[in-house]
Amino acid sequence: MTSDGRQDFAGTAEFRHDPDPTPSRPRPAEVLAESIVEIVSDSGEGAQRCGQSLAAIAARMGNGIWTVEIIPAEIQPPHRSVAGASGNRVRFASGPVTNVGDAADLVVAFNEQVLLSRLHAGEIKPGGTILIENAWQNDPDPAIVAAYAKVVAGVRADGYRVYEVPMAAECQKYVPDPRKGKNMFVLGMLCAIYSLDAEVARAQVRFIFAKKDQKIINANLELLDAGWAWADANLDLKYKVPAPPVAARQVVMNGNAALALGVVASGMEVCAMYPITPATSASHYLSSIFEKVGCVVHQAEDEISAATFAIGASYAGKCAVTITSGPGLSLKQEALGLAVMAEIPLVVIDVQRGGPSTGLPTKVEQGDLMAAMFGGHGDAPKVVMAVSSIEECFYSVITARKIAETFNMVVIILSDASLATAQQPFERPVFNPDWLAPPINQSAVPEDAKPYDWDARTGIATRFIPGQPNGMHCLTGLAHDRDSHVAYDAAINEEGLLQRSRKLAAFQTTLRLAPVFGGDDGDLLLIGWGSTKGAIEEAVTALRAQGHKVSSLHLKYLQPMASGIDAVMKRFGKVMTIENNWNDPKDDPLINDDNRRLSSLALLLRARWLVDVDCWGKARGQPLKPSAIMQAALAKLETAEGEQ
Amino acid sequence: MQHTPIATGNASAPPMSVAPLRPALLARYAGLEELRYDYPLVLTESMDGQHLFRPLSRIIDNVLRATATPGPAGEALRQQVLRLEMRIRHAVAEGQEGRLSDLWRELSADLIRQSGEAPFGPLDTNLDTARRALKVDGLVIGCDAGTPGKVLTHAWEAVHAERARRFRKRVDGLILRLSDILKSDFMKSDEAHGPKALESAMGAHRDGSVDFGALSAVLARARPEDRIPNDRVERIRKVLAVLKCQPFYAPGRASHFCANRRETYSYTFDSCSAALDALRERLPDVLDFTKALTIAELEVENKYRAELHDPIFEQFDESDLTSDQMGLLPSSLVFLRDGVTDPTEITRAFEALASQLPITILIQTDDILGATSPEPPRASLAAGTARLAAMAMGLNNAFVLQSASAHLYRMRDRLVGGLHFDGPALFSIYSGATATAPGIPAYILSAAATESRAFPSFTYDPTAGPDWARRFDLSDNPQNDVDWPQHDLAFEDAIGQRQSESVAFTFADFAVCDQRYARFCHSQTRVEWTTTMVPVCDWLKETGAAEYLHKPYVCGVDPDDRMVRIVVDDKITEAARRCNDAWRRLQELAGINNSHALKLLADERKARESAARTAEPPAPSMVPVADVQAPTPVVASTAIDGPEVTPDKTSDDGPWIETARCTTCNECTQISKSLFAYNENMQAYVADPDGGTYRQLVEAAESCQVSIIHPGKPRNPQEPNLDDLIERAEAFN
Amino acid sequence: MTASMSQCLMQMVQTDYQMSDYQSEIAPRWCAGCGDNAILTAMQRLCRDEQLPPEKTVCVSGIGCSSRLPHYMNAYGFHGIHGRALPIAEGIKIRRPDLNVFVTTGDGDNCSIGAAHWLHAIRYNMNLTVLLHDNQVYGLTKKQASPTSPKGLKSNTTPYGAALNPLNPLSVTLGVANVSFVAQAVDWIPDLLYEILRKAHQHRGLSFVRVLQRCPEFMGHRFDDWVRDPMKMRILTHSDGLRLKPEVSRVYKNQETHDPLDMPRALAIASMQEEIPVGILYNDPSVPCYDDLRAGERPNTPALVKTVLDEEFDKVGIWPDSADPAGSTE
Repeated sequence: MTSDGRQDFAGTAEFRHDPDPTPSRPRPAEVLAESIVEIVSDSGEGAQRCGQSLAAIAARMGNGIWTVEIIPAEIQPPHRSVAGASGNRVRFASGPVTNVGDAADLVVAFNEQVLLSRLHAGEIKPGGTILIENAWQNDPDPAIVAAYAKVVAGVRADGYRVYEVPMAAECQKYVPDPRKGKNMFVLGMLCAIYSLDAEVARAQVRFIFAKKDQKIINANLELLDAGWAWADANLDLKYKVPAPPVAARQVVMNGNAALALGVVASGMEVCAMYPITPATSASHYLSSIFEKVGCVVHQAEDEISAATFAIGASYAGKCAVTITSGPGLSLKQEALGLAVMAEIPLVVIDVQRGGPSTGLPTKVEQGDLMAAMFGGHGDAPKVVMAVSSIEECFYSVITARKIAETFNMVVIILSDASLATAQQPFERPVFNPDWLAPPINQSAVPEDAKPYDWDARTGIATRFIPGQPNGMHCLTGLAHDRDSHVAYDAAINEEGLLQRSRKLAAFQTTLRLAPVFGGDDGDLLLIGWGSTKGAIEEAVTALRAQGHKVSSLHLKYLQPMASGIDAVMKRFGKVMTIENNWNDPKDDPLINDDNRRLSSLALLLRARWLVDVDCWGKARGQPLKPSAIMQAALAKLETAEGEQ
Repeated sequence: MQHTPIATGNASAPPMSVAPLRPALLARYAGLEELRYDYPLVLTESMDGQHLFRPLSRIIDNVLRATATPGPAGEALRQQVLRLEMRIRHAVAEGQEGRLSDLWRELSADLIRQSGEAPFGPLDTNLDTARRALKVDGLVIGCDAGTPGKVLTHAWEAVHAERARRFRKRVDGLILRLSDILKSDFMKSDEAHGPKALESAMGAHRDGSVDFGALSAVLARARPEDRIPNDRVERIRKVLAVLKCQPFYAPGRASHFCANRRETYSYTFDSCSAALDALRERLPDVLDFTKALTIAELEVENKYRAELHDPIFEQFDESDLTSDQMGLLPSSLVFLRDGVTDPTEITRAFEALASQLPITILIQTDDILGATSPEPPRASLAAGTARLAAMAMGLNNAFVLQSASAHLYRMRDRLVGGLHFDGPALFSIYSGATATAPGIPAYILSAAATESRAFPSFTYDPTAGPDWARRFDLSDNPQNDVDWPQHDLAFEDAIGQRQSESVAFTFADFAVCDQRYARFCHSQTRVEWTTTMVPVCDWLKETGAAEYLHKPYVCGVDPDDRMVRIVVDDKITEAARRCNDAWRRLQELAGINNSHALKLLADERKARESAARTAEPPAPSMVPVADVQAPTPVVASTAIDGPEVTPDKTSDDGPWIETARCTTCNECTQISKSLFAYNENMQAYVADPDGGTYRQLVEAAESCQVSIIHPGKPRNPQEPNLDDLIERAEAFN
Repeated sequence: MTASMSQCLMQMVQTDYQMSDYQSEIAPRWCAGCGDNAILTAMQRLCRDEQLPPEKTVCVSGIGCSSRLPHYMNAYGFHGIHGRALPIAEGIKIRRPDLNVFVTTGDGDNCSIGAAHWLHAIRYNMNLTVLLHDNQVYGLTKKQASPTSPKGLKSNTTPYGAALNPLNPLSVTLGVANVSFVAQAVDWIPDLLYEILRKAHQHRGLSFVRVLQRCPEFMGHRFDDWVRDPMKMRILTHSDGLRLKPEVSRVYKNQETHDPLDMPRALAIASMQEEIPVGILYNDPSVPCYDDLRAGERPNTPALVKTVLDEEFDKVGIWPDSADPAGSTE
């Protein structure tokens, strides 16, 4: 790390001028528009770090990237098990990448079991390239030797290009324990295969190990070079994914890190949370930086406490955030109702996972929309917004804080497990002090003011913060009048309901609908929300390239929704939502129009605008892939034609 | 500590007074660099303001404690690190100066190179391990003419930096809170609700999902909000400007952006005149700042009331400055390098020391004795400087410390205490770098000055207590209860036998180190020794004829390390007498052999002896009365002292309530609001015994949960059903 | 030390708060004879005697009879949801050390639905004063057994008598790590209630005061034996703790000198059955407070946020060759 804190990349710029210094037999590289690489290993073998490094190197060379972690559900899964596959998927391309993409082109597997896991999941392209550790063929355990031989023979027979790589044997030349070094060897191999810049790669290795001893850095650099040399000497794979040089200062991070930085940038000073996958890593990262700005991450004793602690801080003038995932959101519902009733600003971040119940803790699903909008009892209007990119993860927190404090409302941000761990570069934000929460108002309240002096037009009341002279009142979750006095009579209760609802309407009038992606009218409109945006738009682009009149609309605000959605819908022959959540399959013999349960957004659109909105989606715990969306859209177009 | 005995062989005597002589007691300190003593000193870069400097050897010891494990491997490391320490010591002795980490790196590289070992070999690894355990860094200095200035300046700077941190924390905190008040007020403005401001605050710079114009229209508020009155905004702005642009310390995090910031004042001066003039010149700034600070503190607490406070701040002047306020501002450091010779400067020094201002004066003395030509003067100018410390103690409110370089580490805590002292402080330090004592290291000579009472170490701390016993401290001197410290002198006698003798180290020993005094010294080799020679310390005790019969001498060594007796002239013995006299007075101040106390003791002894003779009881006034018991009242420890309180009973017959036990349950007040009322503690009492009926009283008594209502007798005999009520009231009366 | 000039000048504008300054415009609507009245009065007395500015005082409560108290105080109040008073109070306090935060909670609120928060609040030891109004029954929901109800209590949910032994809030609290102040008061000795409350308020850290409180409606004679017989009340005194007024001392003669740092004795006192102990059972002012530990070294300022964000962006930054990487010259 250099003294100016920039650590790794200082070298990048100057090394760029250096032509490829690796002495290798020049081999013409096949030019690709994009490639998807997976590196899978047992947990703890460093495949994730290898994948992230590969992505970082590619990003620094100007490639668009998207990485997704492949995470086992357990902390210490058994070695060499299908369930234990851990690693990273890297999609990189000449242009920007907005989603995880389809099946992988090339897989590096540290053993045949983790390879099986990816094959079973259908994540590897038919005929794709497989590089596999071959040390298992000499394993003392005959069962392992047999299992390895069987899988390798099997995949060869299925038409995959298989390369058996002596990773451990090669690594042993440099480090005593090859398990600890393989990932850098593989990184070198992959950099060679994709003709990446050697010095950028070396700078990345130096960055990863910046805090370690020089000896360790050197050993890893040697491993990187060895992998590089080995690939050049032994593999007939040579690709290049050309990229324009990076045009603006960018940052690469995952969605949870972006959320955490967004919390810092929003000026919120208190985050109360309770550990829950996949939201926790946002709080981990936040914990590591929040104290530096004088703020606090409070790990509460439970989800309810996290929510009420945040409400307490917000009430006292420091708008707070609580970060959770589905089950946590369920537990917080009563507290959210209190915040709505008492009109306390609050930001809730829900990093959605597969449900119901404990469901799929590490995997993605857009299953919490209804819970976010309608989860509590009674009428509890809240703002619900969904993020659709890593960059939005950052900015949405700032927006949410401002909305929450402007309208004294609860704002729920929906992210999900696929954004949580996916990395994507975006333009480096330039800090603006206006983002920060204003200081606590401690000036005296005018004599005649009431704590719930609802503005007749907007429903907004200026709240009084403890410490403000003359502002004393008892805030309550019970029905109350403008003086915050408990009041059970019908008229007063109705007025409270009206004013709280009015705020949502007032906010709605300020929303603008996002432009339609594709054409303004056509045969099919796909509507999505949240993390599926990139995949949907990629599918739309591909469909339009094939001549189909398909467009898409992506919603950021789900409660309230911007005006004009109905007008857009009417310009298309068919409308279908694309959602990563459950809907009943139409072809099931038991399912008919009367009992088919629809995806959340489809239900909401139909209810509001009386439009025949269909839905397509999966709740398999995996990100939606562009190819699958394409197929669904094509099928919808076909049925549309059939109807005509 | 090892030292070679001095040879006292009968070799031919060298020509007298040609080569420098040394007191025998100093002979053992040849080759100082081999010893692990208080120097080199590391001026540590710590933030705690306490451990400002430490001997290199202590730092190395800590490193070794952390890294050298018991066993051969640890022992090897220990030896290697000590070798490195020795190198650093030698390098510093040769005048090299640098940060410990730099010296370490450079000299350990040399050491490794010269050892012939490969890089990353055992020596390299061990030294590296030890380096990682090095928890402090800082400039490494030796003991020379620059030492007192460096040590004190470093310590002052550290204390100054600590004050600056404290100052910035307080001032920055106020700046932030005042800015918050203004910002919070701005948030209520129309501007803060405009489309631009809203867009800027939303963060989503490329996201068109919100129409900020529409949002601004939505937020146009129905009721104009309370804004801070203009005069308050003005006042806060003015105060903010003063706080942000203060010239006393470098700006902090919150005050970094001040357009018209002046250069930060320097607080180091080379004369007292300059310091005092500067402080006078800066007084208006001090007043402005102090006013602003006080107003800021009121404002952030919402406690500024123009009608009350404006007049006070209009008249605010010098006399309103409190030590609490002055303590926030920097203290000045005046470094007088070569003593004070200019008489006006001495006057100003005393003016500074007599003031209440935070001024630290460092006087470095390089020469205690002063010129001897043509005669040793009774008081040379330099010698006057040396006494300044003793004189300054008479000022009463100044902190005074006198010490020599060799004792600085021992005096460290007192030194730091002096730097933290709120008022003026004087540090008088003898460097030991006297030009006329060549060949004697400054460390040795400065130690000798303390040892010989020529320059005793002491402190006078006005904060330590109200009396001399607590304020004055002489305890850092060797053997401070005697005239001269005694030491064992080991030597070889004429036939090479090891001998040991107890020898006093006197002023004369110190004087003979100085070349200028050589002409009052006469070196005598063993063959010239006579029985009329007596050591100086004994000679000084003699009176009358013996004084003239005997010749005072100092045990010395000649340049060949042979033992000699240095017979000294009365010029030296006279000075020694004066020195001894001054020392005794210091002892008295410190309560050692105090003449008043000794006199009282003698009187007491006499009285007791005569009392014993006459068998009379001792004078009662002399002994504290111990056997007479004072009639102290025994009070239950838990009870609060106070008059016995009778219950709130109005009369024997009237109704009453045990008010103190009332639980405010409202039962009685609901029965009658005129009969019962609550006192200032919301506890019930009988407000008007005629405010209700006897029935109500009885019912209240019955319903009282804690049964503290006593209805008494009925006051209105006409009331119906009295008999029944009286019977019911019985239980409560 | 003499007061600083600012302090002197501030004292010029000190207001003289009276009892009535802490009484809200809503008259208490507890049943006549309810012990909650005594607690409210003691609290108002405390505020007056300590001259706590009403705007700097916050009373937080959950749900139940006890939790109505904030409505009757002229201060900031937060009448939240059942069981969650403590985490709300913690959230208020975490960034507002300037506020005096009181928590009023009941035996159902604190020991049942909010029991998890109770244990953790003791552990956090934030600078709060917690009053547990323990009437040993659910009152607001019309008489159900609470966790502190005596065994055998016939209630609407236990028509044949409560089956279990009651939970002892004192010994539970004493058993939690970081406990720093535990006291017991009874509503029928208002002077001691006030004194204990004052000690609790002055304590730095979480002070937990259980107040045994009579419910005339549903637990009519529960405490009669003790109310009538002062000798059944064991008053805990100590030179560092409670000191009794003579008139109280005269009535309540059953006194014990108890060192508030003596945990074994505190536990023994907490478990007394025949006598009701009143006083400070435990007081250790040295336990660190979570709000102090998490106070944050530096205030959150725009410049600081910018610095930290830039540091983090630098760690994950990419920039074009031509651009100046850190926005500064090298």
